[in-house]
Amino acid sequence: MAKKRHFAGYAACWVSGVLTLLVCLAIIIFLVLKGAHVLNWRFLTEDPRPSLNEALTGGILAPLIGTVFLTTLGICFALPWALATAIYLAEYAEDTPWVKTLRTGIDVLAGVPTIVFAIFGLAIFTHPGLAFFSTMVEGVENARAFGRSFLVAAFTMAMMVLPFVAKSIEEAIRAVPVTYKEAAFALGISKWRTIRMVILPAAAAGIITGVVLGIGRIAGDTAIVWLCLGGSMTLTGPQPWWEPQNWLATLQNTGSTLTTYIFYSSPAGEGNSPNKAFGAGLVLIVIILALNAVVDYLGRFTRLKEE
Amino acid sequence: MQQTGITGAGRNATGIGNNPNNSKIMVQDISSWYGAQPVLKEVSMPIHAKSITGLIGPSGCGKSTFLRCLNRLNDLVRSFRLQGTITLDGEDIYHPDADVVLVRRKVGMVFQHPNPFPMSVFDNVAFGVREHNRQIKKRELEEIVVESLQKANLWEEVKDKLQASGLSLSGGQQQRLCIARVLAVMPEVILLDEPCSSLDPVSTAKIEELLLQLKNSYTVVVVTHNLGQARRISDYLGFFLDGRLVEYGAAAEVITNPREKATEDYLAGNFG
Repeated sequence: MAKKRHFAGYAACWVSGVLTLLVCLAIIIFLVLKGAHVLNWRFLTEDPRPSLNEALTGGILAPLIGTVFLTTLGICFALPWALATAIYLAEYAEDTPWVKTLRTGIDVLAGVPTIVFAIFGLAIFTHPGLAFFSTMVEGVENARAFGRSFLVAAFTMAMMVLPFVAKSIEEAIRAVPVTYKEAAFALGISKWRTIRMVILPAAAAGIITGVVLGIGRIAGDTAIVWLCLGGSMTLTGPQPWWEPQNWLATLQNTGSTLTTYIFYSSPAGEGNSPNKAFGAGLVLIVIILALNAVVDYLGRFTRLKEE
Repeated sequence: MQQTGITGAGRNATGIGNNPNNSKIMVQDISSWYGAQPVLKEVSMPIHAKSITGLIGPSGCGKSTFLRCLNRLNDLVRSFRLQGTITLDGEDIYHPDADVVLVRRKVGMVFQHPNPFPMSVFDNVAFGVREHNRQIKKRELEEIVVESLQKANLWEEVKDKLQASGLSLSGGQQQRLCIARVLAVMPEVILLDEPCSSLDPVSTAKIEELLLQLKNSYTVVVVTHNLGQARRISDYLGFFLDGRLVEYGAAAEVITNPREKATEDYLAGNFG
């Protein structure tokens, strides 16, 4: 009897494990089969061009750049905020009703669908007082703030990833052995300097994991990009965007990311170039897998260093 | 290094009055609790300068808690409460105006399990010095690190691997590294909480030898489970039982001629 039950549990574990792996592999294999043939240097280095003929629709340069802009900017906004939250919760917060409310708030934030963040972001940033985050769209009279730009989308993304990044950093800080803290305190080092010089460096790998987690979520999100960045395929700021005098304007303008590129080029969305969409999907998956590999490597590296 | 008084007020006349036997630390009538749980009960004892005071007693008797009162490390535990006074050079370290960071600078601590920082050997020793004096010159810092490692009898073993991780050393070396780290910030008192409990006999002997050297310049307080160790190194001995200081006196006296039955039973190995 006991042995039989044991076997059932064993089998269930194996079946679910294999199923999970299969789903993961199926997605990757499907994307490779459907999308690999469009991947070439030109696909990565040409901007998208609207065309009914798929062969003439260009590449994914602008969405690729947009993804990099948005993730970088989003995580730059989210990290200081998340770090401060995590340090407060792990090191200073006591068990008071206010802290419990804060924790509940963070949990609620983690459960809010991103489309809700998106519409919230749009509602806030179309306010005339916040018009400097986005620029007037050409040809639209009196429409000073359109409420869509890389800056707007990045702020909204920061709100969206804040709970995940803050929680994973808090875990990392809590995982630092209390003996380090005791040792620093016993040397007559103040609490803040102990956090700054001992605890945060010891938690570095966990903090980086949190950051990469946040980057992955930003890179993979569509709803916020759709509402807060808009529907143009290419960068709408003054060109060339890489010249310093155009940087701010570029970020105040809109563009696209790989996720919205997939939506706008796939027949399931608004476009008619399914192969390009699969190609972009493959590139996105490769980027996210690479980020995961970096986290894994960092985790291993720090463990080795400590041993 | 000139240091101001921990309460900022400097030494007061009454403080010296509290200090008849030239004791470095004076513990008067302290009781403490973790939440509602009493841990120490009306403990009073002097801790004499430039000597080794051993604290013995069975597990859970409060000796480690007592030790952690002396550098206010118990402040880390939110539910901890203390009554009574502890003076260091006549100044109340639990006074509301007392600078706890300065107290801990003067009263260093070595823990039961070696706990070097995840940094190089050099940085482990340099860390506290750098923090206390951010403008320190590189040469000066190097001198302090070398001197501290020498005092901790570790220099010969690590002089070729100062940049190796502190965690790569053996347990006994790590513990001496922790001692060097404390010595580097020039404390006046060194507390050690069962410093040899996770070490082999050879490493233990090295630490004991080191403590006997250190007592010439520092006030040393050692919690130990090891009666042999207490006998070998202590000048004064305190026996704790169930949160109370049952017996205190010159070590030889307490060991050979205990006043209390409980002390005698403990020393005879009847319990603990």
